[in-house]
Amino acid sequence: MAQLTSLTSRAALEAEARRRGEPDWLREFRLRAWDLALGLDLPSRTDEKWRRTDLTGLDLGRVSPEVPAGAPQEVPEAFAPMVGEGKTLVLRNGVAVRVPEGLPAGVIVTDLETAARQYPDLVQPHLMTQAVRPEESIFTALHAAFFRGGAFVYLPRGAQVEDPIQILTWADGPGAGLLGHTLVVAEEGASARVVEYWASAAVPEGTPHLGVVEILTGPGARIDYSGVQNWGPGVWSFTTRRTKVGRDARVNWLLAEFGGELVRSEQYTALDQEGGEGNLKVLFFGSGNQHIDIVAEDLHYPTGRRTVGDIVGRGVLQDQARVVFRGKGHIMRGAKGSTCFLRENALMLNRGCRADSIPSLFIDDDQVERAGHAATSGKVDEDELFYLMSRGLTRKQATRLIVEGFFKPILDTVELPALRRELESLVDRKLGL
Amino acid sequence: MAREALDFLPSEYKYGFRDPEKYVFKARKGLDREVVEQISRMKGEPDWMREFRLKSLEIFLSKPLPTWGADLSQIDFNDIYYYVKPTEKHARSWDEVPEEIKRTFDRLGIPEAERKFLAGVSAQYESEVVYHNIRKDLEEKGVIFMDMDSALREHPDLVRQYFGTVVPPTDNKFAALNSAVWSGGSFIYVPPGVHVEIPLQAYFRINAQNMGQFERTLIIVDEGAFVHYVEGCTAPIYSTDSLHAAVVEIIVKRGARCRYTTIQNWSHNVYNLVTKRAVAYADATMEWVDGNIGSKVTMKYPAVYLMEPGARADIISVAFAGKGQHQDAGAKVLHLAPNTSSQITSKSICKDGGNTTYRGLVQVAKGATGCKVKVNCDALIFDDNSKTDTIPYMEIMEEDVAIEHEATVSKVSEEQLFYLMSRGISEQQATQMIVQGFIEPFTKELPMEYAVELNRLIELEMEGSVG
Repeated sequence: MAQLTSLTSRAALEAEARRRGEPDWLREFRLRAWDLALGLDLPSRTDEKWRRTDLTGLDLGRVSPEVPAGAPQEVPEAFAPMVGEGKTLVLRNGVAVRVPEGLPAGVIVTDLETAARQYPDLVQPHLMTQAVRPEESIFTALHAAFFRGGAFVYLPRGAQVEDPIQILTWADGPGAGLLGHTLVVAEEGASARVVEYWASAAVPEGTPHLGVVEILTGPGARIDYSGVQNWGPGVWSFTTRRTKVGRDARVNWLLAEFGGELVRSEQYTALDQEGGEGNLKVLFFGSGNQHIDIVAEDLHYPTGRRTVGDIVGRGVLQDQARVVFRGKGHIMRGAKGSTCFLRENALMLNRGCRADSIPSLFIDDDQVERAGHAATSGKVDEDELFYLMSRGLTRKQATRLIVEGFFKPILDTVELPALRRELESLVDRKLGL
Repeated sequence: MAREALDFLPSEYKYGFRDPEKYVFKARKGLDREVVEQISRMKGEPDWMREFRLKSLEIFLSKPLPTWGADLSQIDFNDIYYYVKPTEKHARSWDEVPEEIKRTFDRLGIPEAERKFLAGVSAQYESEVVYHNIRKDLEEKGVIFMDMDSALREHPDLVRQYFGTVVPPTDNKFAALNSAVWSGGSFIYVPPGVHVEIPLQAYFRINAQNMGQFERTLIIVDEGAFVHYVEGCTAPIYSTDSLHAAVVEIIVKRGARCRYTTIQNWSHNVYNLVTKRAVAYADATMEWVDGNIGSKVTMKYPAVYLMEPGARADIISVAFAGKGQHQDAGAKVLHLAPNTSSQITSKSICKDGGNTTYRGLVQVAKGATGCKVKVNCDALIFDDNSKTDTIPYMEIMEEDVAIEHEATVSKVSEEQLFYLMSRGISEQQATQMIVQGFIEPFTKELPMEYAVELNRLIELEMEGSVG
């Protein structure tokens, strides 16, 4: 990939990893990923999966793993209301500026770079080996070569974490803060709730963010995960997220795509163990000239008998925003007794926006328990608006109530009050209130 | 349900017989300018049509095969007869049809059907329409129903005005191919206000081995008029494959209504790659009733472009894929004007390793306010080797719309079977009843004779399924 030569060289990447004192295996891992990236191209619009997103103007040569010089090493102001709640890890420009205390025995919550040094036996077997792999795309390959900071959550067998684990990521500008990696590993029977929030200052238009989230669960484990993306203006965000659900395990995960200029957000629930269940909710709110391209897939592999996958996509569009929602449920041959359901609702607040949805189903096994999808798009109900306005609300206030009602079932799953308030105010800011 | 219970092979394709090949003219295999010019010359066409064919040939040669949909890589375009003329003249009375061809159509039941209830019949054998007839009273009202070649001679202005306007040769590779080598097909014109109350019908038959059939149909329903057109297709079973690439263009003018019913029952060695599209103007209604039972591979997405306010599209389809079959079918509706509405209902059934795909597009253009869209796709899957995919595309560029889409995939439910069998019905009958219930929204749209025929076909496909 030609753009990359302006970014670094193999030798420089190697020298940098040594300078940071990274373990040998991680350095080797990064170099392999770099070699892979050089052989990969940007996706072409002739590829059906990328047909609806124009990457003209994207310069991956602008990916920067540097921590900006003189960057503050304290909790950013934007996160001040939230840090007092839950077990919180705060990363600023790829550096941990606050780590949680008082975790149950054996539970680890720290930044991924530190974890790679301190717990190589726990990190190496899980980092981009089972869920997301470097070779998936140029974005995941580059991410593997350059990821910085990041979060590592480890739950040993049977561990129960009562307080939600909160991961807050902030970037003051281009650099290491836009290269985070989240790795959650839950061993057999463990359970926790993890919430994550990404935000940044405004950056020059077209600054890439390359993210990966991996959630691995052992037998009977349970993870409730919420991630809220609120990158500043100018960010072009590319994130691949995948959970691998263990036998009889359950992952409930929610992603909210609010920020950024151009967003490509992929999430996959991989169900390859009997009895696994993955419930995925994706929320979006496109405004201004935002382009948000969402992929959400349930993959019931042949070994994933009696697995349950559910996808709900729900979002609002206004101004000239364009949203693409590509949902997919695939029950492969052998995944008997499985259930797979997709739902999508888009609410369009004004003319000029565009919503594309492609909720596909691929069924290769006849012993399907239940499979289906449903999608709706439309505008705010005039009758509802009229009713609210007849009660003395302005049109804007009435719209706000309706939009909040639309998001409510999902916002209700965010348990930390400060983060929830932040989300509500995010919706209001989007609505121009 | 025991696996053996579902072991019903579509072994019996009852239209699989073949007749000896006796033709007055058969072009050489393969396709180039010479073959195209020869077809045009044989037909004595005007210059504009020859030019149109030659331009289309260039487009066909320059376009790659589609990279999506069914696997078309096995088609050898050089191993196909693009034009086969079975007889010198075409008949208006059944007695004039050459004996062998008549026997074929007798076996398919054409004259019988005509006697019973049809307003007009056309029968195409290989490349040419060999027979057509229309009731006198309709002819007197100004209804035109003839084969496309005759229409080009007898109504040149009308044909030239509309031909290729709904499906231009540039639309896709197979539309370009058809535009280059088309032959036969139906031409229908219904004058303003005329209601053709009983269906007009066409039969299409491929007999020769390695034959390509490229009929071209153009239907113009003038203001406030109504017509129902029904087509059926069959072919013999050869070890090599045949190609059917039709183009159907329909213009439904203000306040008019057109219903187009297809029972596609090609033998399982036919590639059926068809472009069907209608434009509907103010308050007009276009209805596609599309049944795909036969063929090896079908790629067909009947389309309606809703051009003016109040236009409506209704598309209802059934796809049945057995062993070795891929039915990649669906629907396409473009809402290009305010207050237009569409409803798409799709039912797919796959068994014995068959593959069904519903592939659809609904687009609401900017400014098309007040549109209503409803899409329903249901699939029934019988066994492990079969596969069913549902891929609906929705592109919504307007906020003042109501869009609903729903899909389900299910197996034949044990409870339903158990219930029926506890009432003393055999497993095979019970399965058939469930399938017939599943496709009932489709069958109830068919003329009675066709509904009976379709149910019989389904029974045949399911035969031997259970002991």
